Amino acid sequence: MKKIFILGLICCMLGILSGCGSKEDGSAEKKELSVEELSNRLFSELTYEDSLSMLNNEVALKYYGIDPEIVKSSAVYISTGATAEEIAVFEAVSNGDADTIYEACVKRKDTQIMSYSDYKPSETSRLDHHVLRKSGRFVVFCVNYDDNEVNRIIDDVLD
Amino acid sequence: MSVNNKRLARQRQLRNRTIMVVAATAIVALIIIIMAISKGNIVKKKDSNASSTESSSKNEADDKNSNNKDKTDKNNGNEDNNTDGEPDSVNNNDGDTSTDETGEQAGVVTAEYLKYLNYENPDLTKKGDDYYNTDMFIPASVTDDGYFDTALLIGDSRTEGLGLYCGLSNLDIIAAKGLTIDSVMDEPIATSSTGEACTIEVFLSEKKYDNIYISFGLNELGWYYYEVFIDEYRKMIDTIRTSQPNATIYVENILPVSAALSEQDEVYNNPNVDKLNQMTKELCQSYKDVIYLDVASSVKVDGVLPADASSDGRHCNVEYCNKWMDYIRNNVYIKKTN
Repeated sequence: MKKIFILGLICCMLGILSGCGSKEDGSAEKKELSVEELSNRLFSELTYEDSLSMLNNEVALKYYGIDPEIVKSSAVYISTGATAEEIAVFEAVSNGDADTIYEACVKRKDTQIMSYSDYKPSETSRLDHHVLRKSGRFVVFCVNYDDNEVNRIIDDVLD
Repeated sequence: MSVNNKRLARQRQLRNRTIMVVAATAIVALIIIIMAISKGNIVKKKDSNASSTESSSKNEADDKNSNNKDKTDKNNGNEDNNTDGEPDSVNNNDGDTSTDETGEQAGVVTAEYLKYLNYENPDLTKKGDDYYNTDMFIPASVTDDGYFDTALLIGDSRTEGLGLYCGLSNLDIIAAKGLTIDSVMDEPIATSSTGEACTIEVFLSEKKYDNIYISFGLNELGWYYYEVFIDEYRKMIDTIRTSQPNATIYVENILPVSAALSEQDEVYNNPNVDKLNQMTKELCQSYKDVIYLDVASSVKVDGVLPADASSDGRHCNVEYCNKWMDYIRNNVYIKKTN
């Protein structure tokens, strides 16, 4: 009887541990997919006037001035230069690193506004509709006239 | 049963119970440890910073052919051009054209970047209307993108797009939208070794390059006097030459614009592009040691930028930027030894 009780206790603990393990696996899997899922949705579900192409990750981080050591995953799409349209999604290593990435995106946005104000002033109105958000370790920067839809997609993926 | 026997029986039961509890606890602990290791909670795993859709730009560039190039007439009366693949004079007494990594035996200057080039039998079929002094240079082609470790691109928004789309993180780029030949050397568009914004002149005083590519002209098509453009270009070349005496300077010609844009725009049209390109070529010829690189031939089809190359008729998409970069790879020029 006592042996049966102890065996049952072991089975219960195994069950609890398995449940915790599955939950942990599920959360990690969702985070690994978020950058790709979010960037793909922003790329495919919005309308862009210019042709956007994904950058090589090393080139993108160099362009943004972001240390690769603080980035867990990223996806950056830029236009040909004809418009200011852009998509940049980052997952930082830590929340503190996300703050650093956020500041880099602020600098990127300001540089674009300054560049286009002389080069093609009509694009500054598009840049006014930019979306720049930080959620935990995720940072999203997107330039598209339809900022409402951009925010809706971000809310749908990150929440 | 006697009292002692009962006591012994109880002790035995207690001992057995204790053993079983300890054993159960040990098993559970072992299971926890095994599961923790499998999830990486004990041994830390470093996640790679890689997107699942990351492209290999070099592989894409290798696969792309510039088969839509408009091959211009090579025999355009420029006596300095020699595109038959044989250098006019090579400082090689025994006629042996074998080369080593430093290039010494082939009669070219010794330089680290030569190991990334094929200058023994480069493919000359992808050459446009380049100008290079055959007494000073021999043609070569890039076999390894390590070549770009010591290369620099300077230019306007088109160069900015080229630098981003080509996927070469080892290539330095100084480019900005709206940049013109008369402001490029004065604007603080570069970044110094201390991280501060600086002019190109300051930047070039800190870092040496083997090959410098310059691309301007689109934003200057509306200038009233193209001679001013040429004068400013000359000043820029002279300034670069002062701080980079050993670098090979390439002046890239202006890419064409689309037929639609050319037909309806008084400024951004291909007759203006062709006129300014001709003047730029003559500028390079006056220097002798500056290369005129016909990058336009890599994207031009029937004299224009194809409609599918650009959304605005001026800025190339990734496909055509890679055609442009392929032309740069296939048309390198190495200085001969004196």
